[in-house]
Amino acid sequence: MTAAVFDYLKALVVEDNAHMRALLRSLLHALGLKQVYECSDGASAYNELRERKPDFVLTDLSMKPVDGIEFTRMVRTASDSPNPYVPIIMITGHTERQRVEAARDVGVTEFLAKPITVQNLLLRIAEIVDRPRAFVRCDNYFGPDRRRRRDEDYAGPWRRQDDFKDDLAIAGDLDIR
Amino acid sequence: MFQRRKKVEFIDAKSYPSVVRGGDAAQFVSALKSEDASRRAARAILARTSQLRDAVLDYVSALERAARAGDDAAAFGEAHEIRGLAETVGLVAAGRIANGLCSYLDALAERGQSADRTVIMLHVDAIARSARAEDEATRLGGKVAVELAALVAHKLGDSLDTAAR
Repeated sequence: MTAAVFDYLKALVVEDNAHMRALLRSLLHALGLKQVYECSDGASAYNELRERKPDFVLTDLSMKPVDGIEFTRMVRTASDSPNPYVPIIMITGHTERQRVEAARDVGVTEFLAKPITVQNLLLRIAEIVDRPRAFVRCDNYFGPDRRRRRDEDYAGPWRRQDDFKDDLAIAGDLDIR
Repeated sequence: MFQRRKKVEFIDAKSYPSVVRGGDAAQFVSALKSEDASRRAARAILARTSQLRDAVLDYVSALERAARAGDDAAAFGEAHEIRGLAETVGLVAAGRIANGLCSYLDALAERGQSADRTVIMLHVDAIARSARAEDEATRLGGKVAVELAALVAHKLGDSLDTAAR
């Protein structure tokens, strides 16, 4: 059964560096994925997303003319997005907090830091299958829930607008400014 | 301080199309986390190592040209490619030193300050020596990476002091 899953699973690799793109393709093929599609920037990736309907996307952050952040924003929020829920793993050599936060805030599902290690790549792919994240839609965000942990015993302090223990579903009612 | 706003909508993962479901998902994850998967992926990297090391050396040459020309933006671009690829193919020190150079150039660019040529050239020289000599086994490159990181921290501290004055 597992081999069959690998057979039908489709991945889209978006990376402007041809060497890194080839490396990622080789790694995914080595894992057993047969359908790996490639693009060198966000604009062509968006078209490929519509054509190929991949199950997950591996994208670089820095690309021209459309980078990984803008690509993710389009996938999550464009009215013609073919799949706003597709898991997006962002690969980045950027360790600067600002860039990582910007990527998180447009709806990236997982991050994979360069240099890529086999272990980290496998773990990120396993994560999107094993623990698919709930999505959140509010005034200024649509994407995977950015909170990774929910501790039932957590006693506060409560900093977020939707941090009310009794009922998370009605939580966004207040905006703290 | 508190303002009314629209509710936040939570969309459970079960209610949108996911990658793999149910028993298939468990088997898939188990297969991904298996030693066999790690071995196959490691072999895939190994098969490309020679080609990728050559690519890193090309980036190193381009970095040297950019640094000599005083083109910091181009130097950042080449160093960024090196930090992305080098460690994956075993050129650990070269990758770390390139990362240090990127952090240095990035920090100064954000502050609108110009970079110290000596700091750049020390990094470029260390990256080139480390990548070409393949001295990873001696760990010399690692020590150089640590020393240069200390130099960058010192220089960035100086530049903050200058900016504060």
